[in-house]
Amino acid sequence: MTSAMLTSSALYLAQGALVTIGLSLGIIAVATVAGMLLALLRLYGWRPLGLLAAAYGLVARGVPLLVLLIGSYFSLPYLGLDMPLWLVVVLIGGLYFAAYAAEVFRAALAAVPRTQWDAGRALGMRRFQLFTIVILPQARRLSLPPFLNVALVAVKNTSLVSAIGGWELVAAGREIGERTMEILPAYLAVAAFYFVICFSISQIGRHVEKKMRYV
Amino acid sequence: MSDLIPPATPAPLVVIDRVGKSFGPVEVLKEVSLTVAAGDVLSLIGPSGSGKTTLLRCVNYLETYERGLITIAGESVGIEQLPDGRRRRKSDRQIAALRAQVGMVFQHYNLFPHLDVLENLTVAPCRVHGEALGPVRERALALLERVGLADKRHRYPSELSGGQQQRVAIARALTMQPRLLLLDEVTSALDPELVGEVLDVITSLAADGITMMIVTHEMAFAREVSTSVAFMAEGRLIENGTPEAIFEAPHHERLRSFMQRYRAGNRL
Repeated sequence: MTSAMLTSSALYLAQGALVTIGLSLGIIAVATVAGMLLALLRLYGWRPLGLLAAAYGLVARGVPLLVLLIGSYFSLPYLGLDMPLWLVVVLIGGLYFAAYAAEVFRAALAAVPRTQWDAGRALGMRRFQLFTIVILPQARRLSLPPFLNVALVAVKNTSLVSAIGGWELVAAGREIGERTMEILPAYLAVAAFYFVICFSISQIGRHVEKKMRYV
Repeated sequence: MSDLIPPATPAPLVVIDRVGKSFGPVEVLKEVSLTVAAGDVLSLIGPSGSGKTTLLRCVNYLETYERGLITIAGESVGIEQLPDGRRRRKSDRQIAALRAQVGMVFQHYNLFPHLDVLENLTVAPCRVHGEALGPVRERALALLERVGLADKRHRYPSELSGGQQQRVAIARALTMQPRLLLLDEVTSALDPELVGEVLDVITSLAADGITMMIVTHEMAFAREVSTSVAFMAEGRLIENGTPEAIFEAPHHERLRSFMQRYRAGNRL
């Protein structure tokens, strides 16, 4: 391989990595918002809605993401919802990982001692104020490490997109492998890109966690 | 109290009138009646499980009660007695407004671990009750000075000893400028050598005329600091009176044996 080929291959993989990062950010954003909503419903919501949220969690965590992606990508058009693939991936992936995020948030919220609620109430705080001022900041810190785990799995699972015809890091790697006949190096490079993305997320997480440390 | 005859003494700040409460089939409070005048320090003593803490938590409605009525400065706590005899829970807003006037200090301090000492004091007045930060900060710093912790204002609770945390908790309750302070076994979780510093603070508050209801197992302290003492057992108020009457001339057999056990345990 010439150095020009190496450079262009690396650039091509970098483009794929950008798509992977974009999809990951979208999925994590949706998972965070929806996961928080599910956790709140289960902990504090009207009971039937809480049970519905629990049932959703069981179903989402009991079905492979690949099946959900294939199923929705190929059936949504029949429902008149013609969405680009990236949007399907962000929405379905986000809702799928929301089920995992919900468990993380629920455990963290429940882990804040009941006595903190007592302290807030005794100071005349109402439920919503108490939640946002006292409970949520403490739960945020508790949920960070396990949430990071979910985020890393989400990043790596964006590779499923290449299995339903989308283009991202793995697909880019496969094309380069086929073009250069250097299959192993191509996939090693792909793995390296994934590693760098995930390692960066871990490092950012560790930094944030350290800043939030107060106990 | 009749409207026609002016009372000889000012109306009590806290009136607990035949209050009863059950946890399922277990009656934890039975027809408890007590009054606390402004400036009074009432100590609640009695064996564990006698209902002292539950009664205290009813006074700011951290616990509900099913029978009787508690009023603070004439305003009923937590529930409304309707003319037809039914009871209705007050709105969350009303309950919160009442709690803002009643300070509470807990056995395990319950400081907010994610806020520093000064923020623990200012968060409720500023972010919940809409007071301006400037005056609240000044008030908070003066109170920290008073409990001897002004130099710790930017520390986090986890960096303080138990005694220091409890003094911060007292200052936090006082920053709200409550008309009544509830203290729930505030020295029970402390190492023995840290008890004194917390009791000293409470004694100085009593000297300033701050109205307090204190649940405590520190008998010598209760005797020294209180204007009146109430003894509870099995959810009932057994006897109440001046510290002298309760500690030196207890009438009720239940109270006498309780005192004897304390003396035997060398705690009096």
